[in-house]
Amino acid sequence: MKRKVLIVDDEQETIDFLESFFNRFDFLVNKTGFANTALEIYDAVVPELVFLDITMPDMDGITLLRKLRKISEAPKIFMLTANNDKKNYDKAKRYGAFGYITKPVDLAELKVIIDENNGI
Amino acid sequence: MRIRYRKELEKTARQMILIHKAETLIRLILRTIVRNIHVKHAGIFIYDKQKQIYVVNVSQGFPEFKIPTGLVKINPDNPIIRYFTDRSLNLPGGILLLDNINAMMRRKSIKKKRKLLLFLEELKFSMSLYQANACIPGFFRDNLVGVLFLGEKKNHKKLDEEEVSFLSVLASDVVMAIKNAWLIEDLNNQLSLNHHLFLQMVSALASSIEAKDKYTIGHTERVADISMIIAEELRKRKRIGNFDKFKEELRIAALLHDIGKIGVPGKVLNKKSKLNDEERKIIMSHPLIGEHILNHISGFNDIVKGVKHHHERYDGKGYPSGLRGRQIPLISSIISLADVFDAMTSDRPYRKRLAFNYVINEIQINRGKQFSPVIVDVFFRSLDKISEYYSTGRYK
Repeated sequence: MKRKVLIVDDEQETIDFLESFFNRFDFLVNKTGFANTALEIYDAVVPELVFLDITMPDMDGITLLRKLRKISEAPKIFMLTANNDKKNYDKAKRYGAFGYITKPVDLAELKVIIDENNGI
Repeated sequence: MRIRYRKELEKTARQMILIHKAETLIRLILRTIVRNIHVKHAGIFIYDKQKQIYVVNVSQGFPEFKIPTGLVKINPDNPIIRYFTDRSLNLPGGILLLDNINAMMRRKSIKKKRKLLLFLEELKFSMSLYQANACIPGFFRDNLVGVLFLGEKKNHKKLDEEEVSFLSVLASDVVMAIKNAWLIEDLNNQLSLNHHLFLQMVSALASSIEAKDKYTIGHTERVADISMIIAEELRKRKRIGNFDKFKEELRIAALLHDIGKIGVPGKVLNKKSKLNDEERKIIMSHPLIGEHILNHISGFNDIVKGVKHHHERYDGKGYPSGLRGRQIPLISSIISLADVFDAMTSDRPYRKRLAFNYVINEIQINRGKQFSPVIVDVFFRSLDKISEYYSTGRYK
């Protein structure tokens, strides 16, 4: 069965690229630039992986993280952001993020996450 | 090289001369590559000196291959980078072609070179992540400044010799573009630093007066700040060419407006009782002394004029030149109002500070007499900002 990933980022080019990247490794990809849509998709689909940016226009990433966690604890949520402030890192960990990846990102790092979560 | 590629290079070279921004230049080069060699995509890793990583900066081609600027990076220990920088691997120099790597791995002799084999496997893996079939290094002296990477050709064929030399030429153009961009960045940083230093020296010079005249501590900063508030409001009503330059000259003139007081004896400056004629003449000479001091600095003409005439009056009864109306430089008319406002709202050796409302009224009364009507009107329009400034405790 195909694994599912949800990508949330306000930059169109970023989510398009990440979608094509995950498609290569046989993931079913959902993507959105809006926090509210992300909540809907998360609830409906319950993806295995989630990648979340911190700087979103309609809702702060940490707030979104907390709301997602309230819906379900199962998915592995990774913050994927240009912000490498330690405070944000600590907050993210505290509110249930599985990992914190700073941009620019090494694709090999993403591949490791894919490999660890694609096994059957 | 065949005529077709040569023409293309010439065309690109002509276009490149017109472009100054490195990113635009590189984008042009990548577009040229995709258009001529018909690859699915092309991108470039550029070295970031601060973070010491290689970041994908520009990428062209099919939408699913386009990597957005700044999203993706590789570290210096990535096999793609090491292929070009690690001498201990004893690899052939020049362009990295996936086909050549595969050929290397098929040779029988490779079985004896475990370390090399491992490296080649990692290299293949890295290249596959970026879907790169070819990587062209861009060196400046001994530093790997960038790496151009190409996807496979749309017709799935290999790159031929001609295409490879075409790419090498373009790679050096890319290096040149990056180097120039770095140079300009360094220059601008240095310019900023110098400018900052200059402004600090102006402030230091301005405070040297206050060392002598204790009643004016903070005065020049306040006059400068109030002048800035007036200038911002003035801009909304009146077109001022090159406003940033004007604002900076105004600020410097405001900071230095009393520099001439250095030529006035301390006992005159700090006298508590009324000045006699002789003493008054001495104090009234400070704008001219200021002009004399600042004239030595080149490029300061408007600033010098601003300082020289800050005691002129709109009705022509001021000093040193008795200028009237529009003859008075704009900088001077702003400073004179700010100067009087601050003087009246501060303690002086001969009297305590005056009430805010009284001062406002005095300014209104002197509209068209001591002060320019335009500047007084602007002053009143910015009154809320000025009273906020006045009450933020700067006036102690």
